[in-house]
Amino acid sequence: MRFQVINHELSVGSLKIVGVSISSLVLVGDAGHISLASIFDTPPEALVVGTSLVPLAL
Amino acid sequence: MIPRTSEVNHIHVRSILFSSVVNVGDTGRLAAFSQALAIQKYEPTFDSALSGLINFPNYQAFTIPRPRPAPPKEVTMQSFNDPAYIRVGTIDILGISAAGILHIGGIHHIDLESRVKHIRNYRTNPDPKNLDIVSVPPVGRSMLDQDK
Repeated sequence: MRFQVINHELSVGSLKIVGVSISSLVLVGDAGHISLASIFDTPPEALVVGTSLVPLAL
Repeated sequence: MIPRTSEVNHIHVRSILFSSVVNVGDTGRLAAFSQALAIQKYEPTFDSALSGLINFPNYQAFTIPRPRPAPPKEVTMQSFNDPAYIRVGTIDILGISAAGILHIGGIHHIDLESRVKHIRNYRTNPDPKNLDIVSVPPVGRSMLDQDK
C-alpha cells in the first residue's frame, strides 16, 4: 500500500498546557515511529491519581 | 522529501521531573522510562526499615511485560511538505513529569514507558510478605493523639 501525505502551511499562535505526564508527548515536528506506554495500578480506595506534577502555588 | 523545520518563538516550562525531557532539535531515537511507587500514608513518618523492604519487583505493575505494537507491513509512506515549516508562537507548560516529553523538531523513533503503583496506608499491614494492603477505616486526628 502506498500512503501519500501532503502537508501545507501549519501555523499555531500559542499552546497553553497544564501538565504533560506519564509517558505523554508534545511534539512540534514530524515522527516516524511513536510508542507510548503507561501501566497504572491503584487500589479502588485511592483518591489521588498521578505523580506530583507541579508546585501547587504559582 | 524536504524535512520540515519546526520554529517556536518562545518556550516557558515551569518544572520538569522524573525522566522527562525538553528537546530542541531533530532526534534519531528517544527512550524514557519512569517507575514510581506512590505511597500515601496517614501518619507523616518515614520508616527506613520498611522502605528497605519495598522493592519494585514485588509488584506486578512493574514486572508484567508490556505489549509492543506490531510494525506496519506493506505500507510505504511518502510525504510532501510545502512550505516545509511548522510554526508555533508560544508554548507555555506548567509541568512535565514521569517520562513526559516536549520535543521541538523531528523524531525518527520514540519509545516512552511509565509505571505507577499506588499504595495506601501501611498502618495496619506492614507485612512485607503480603503487600496487599488491607483497607482501614479513616482515623481522626483525635484518635491518633489517644494512641500516644
